[in-house]
Amino acid sequence: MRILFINNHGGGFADHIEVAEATTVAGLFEERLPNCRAEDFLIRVNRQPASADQALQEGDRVSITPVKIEGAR
Amino acid sequence: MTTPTRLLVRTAGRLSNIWRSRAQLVARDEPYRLRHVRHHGEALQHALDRLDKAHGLGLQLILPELRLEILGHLERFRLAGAEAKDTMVRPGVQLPGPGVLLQEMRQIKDDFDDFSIDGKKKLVRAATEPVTLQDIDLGPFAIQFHWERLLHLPDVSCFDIVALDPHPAAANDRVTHPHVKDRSLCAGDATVPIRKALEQGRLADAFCLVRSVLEHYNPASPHISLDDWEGTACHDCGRNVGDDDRSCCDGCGCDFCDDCMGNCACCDRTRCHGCLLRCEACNEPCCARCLESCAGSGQECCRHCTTSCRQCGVTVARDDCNAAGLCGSCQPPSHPEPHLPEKTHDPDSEPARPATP
Repeated sequence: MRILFINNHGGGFADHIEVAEATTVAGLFEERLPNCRAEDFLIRVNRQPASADQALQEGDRVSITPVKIEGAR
Repeated sequence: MTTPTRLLVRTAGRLSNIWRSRAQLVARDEPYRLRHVRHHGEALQHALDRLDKAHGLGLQLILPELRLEILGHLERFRLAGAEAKDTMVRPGVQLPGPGVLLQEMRQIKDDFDDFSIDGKKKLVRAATEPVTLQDIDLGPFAIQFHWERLLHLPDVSCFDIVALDPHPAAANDRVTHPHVKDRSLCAGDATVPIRKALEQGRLADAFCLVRSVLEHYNPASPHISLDDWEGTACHDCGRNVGDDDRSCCDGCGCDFCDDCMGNCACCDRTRCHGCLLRCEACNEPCCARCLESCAGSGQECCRHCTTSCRQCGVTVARDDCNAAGLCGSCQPPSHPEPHLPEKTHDPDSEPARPATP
């Protein structure tokens, strides 16, 4: 199935991607950001806070935003 | 604070127009950028032809200069290509319509307790909770998105970060957060994601990214380190110093680090280098109170180098007194032996002394 995946980590891209049926939020996170901890991110599905075990649906909008980002001077 | 739905809808429309105007500006830019690429390409081609010709004619001396010229053309061609590519890629981004932007603003409203729109100032504003970093309370910050700035550059410069209960760095009150100076956020790692979010109309993501920078501290690159937040800047060298390492100059009343302070050689009072003068006799640092103007020479000397004339009592440099302690004015005029030329006896000028018997 196809979802809109917005990754505000690093390059900050938004793109439509294919994911397997019944993929959960946690599964998608592990697949896309394998070396990151979920608690360091704000994860939303269709603009709403999502639980780790929430199964994704066709056409969902998933956004992942880091809550700790290093600024500069 | 509640924002009426009508205001939200109207603002969403205005924001959508801004994004559309930006896209038109970028599209208008495309032919110019492509002409630029062609121009630099032709210049590069011309330089390459000249290099071939020089090789063919065996003109060795001109080769280094031609190579430098080609390197310059290559760099300009590369930059022009990158700019053109950037311009051509951007229109592919789907423009956010009023509906999407309305959703974005509603999401910001949900994410931040304090949300407002100022139509006159053309800004969308949301405030963070009070920010505390390494036990230093910096207060809450208003994140202000000035939508007209988007026309010029869709990046972090569209935002002003306003400290609502400022606790700025002691050394510089323009620094209200380790990564905020003069209301500008230095977004660091968030720079690219914020730009991407704004380009694509993901306003809520941009607000969240700004907040994520404000709620985190990067000790490797702050305007002012949190370790020095409470300190005071040295009035001379500007170094930030804590209370234990700074002193107040008794002369000017300003604070200085220990390296920028000295002591008067006479009274031992602590002074900054600007308030310490030099004795013109011994060259030791002295405060103005310990220097006296010497009669006669006019020199400014410390009390170790001055004395009072025993006769008239004026202050003079020790070196200007004689062994009897008298200043130059009180010393008796000296009568040096006149140097007389060796005389030959002139019988006309002086009668001859009678010979002694």
